[in-house]
Amino acid sequence: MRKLVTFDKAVKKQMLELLDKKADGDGFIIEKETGQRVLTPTGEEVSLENFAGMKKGSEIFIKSDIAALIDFAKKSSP
Amino acid sequence: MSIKEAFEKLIGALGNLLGQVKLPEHFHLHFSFLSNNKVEYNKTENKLIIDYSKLNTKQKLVTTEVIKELLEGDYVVFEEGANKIVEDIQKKDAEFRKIGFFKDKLSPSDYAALEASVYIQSVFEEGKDISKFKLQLIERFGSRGNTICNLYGTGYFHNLIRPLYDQLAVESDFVNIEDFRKIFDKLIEEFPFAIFVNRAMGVNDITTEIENKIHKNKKYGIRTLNIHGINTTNVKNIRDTIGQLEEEGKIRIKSVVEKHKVILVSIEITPP
Repeated sequence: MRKLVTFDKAVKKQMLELLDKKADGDGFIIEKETGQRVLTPTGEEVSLENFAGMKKGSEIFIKSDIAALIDFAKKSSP
Repeated sequence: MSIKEAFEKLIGALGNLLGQVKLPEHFHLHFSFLSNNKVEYNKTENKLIIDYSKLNTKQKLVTTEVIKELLEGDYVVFEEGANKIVEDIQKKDAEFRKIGFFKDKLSPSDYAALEASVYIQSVFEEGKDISKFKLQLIERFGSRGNTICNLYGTGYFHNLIRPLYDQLAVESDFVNIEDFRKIFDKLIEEFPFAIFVNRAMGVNDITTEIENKIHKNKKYGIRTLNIHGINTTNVKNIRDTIGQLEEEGKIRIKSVVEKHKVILVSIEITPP
């Protein structure tokens, strides 16, 4: 069984809330405590719209565009 | 706390919400909005669905703690739609292997655009909408990404670009990757053999584009041009344009292949 927890698009904000994150005024995901924008491993900021998921202690963010998903799929291939 | 203990803790906290449901040792955890219940077990999919917004404070705290524990334990928290795409990508591994040849020959960015193109083409061949993926591709890789996608979708990577590399390899024992990339850049920037008609192009735009390419190609002695289009409007516009240009004696139509709202017109550029 894959080590995976899923959520519906409609509860994105709740999932972020649960992990102490939220969106700032421009729609980018930030740390609730510090207000710092979260980054992908390649240094890109992540908007709420482009947020697909996270791993490793909620520190690695994955974007939802096709190139990011291909990259993630390759790295997490079973 | 181990993963097993984390799940046990979660089940303990949600206990009264589960009622008589007996959960198996392993199940899939999913978060959603539920119309009636706070939690629901879908036996067919072996999925425990939790509506976080309806949990009480203690249940929320435990759920948060458990999710954080799972993330520490190499779990991935993923939006379901994106996860389905990831699974689909992984199923299509054979499609991606087809472009393996180009991996160390293109720049990492071009290769990533090519991989995205492979997936987009596979979705297109399934008859599904690709517009969202195309927009994402353009957003990330710009018009260069779009060109790579068009060239891949119309077979130019395997029918032209790979043979071009092979030819360079025949001519020299060692193909300098930088030399190949320069040629590749030229192809991407000015692709002389083809025109990809998009929805924003009317008959006048297509005519201008064809005439510009004809003008350029004549200078280099290139006598053929392929015109590609997808969807009813583009197909009609292409047919109208080439009909008119042929009447004017500017081109000679070599072949027209039209199938499922996809058209490929090969034209011969008539000498001046």
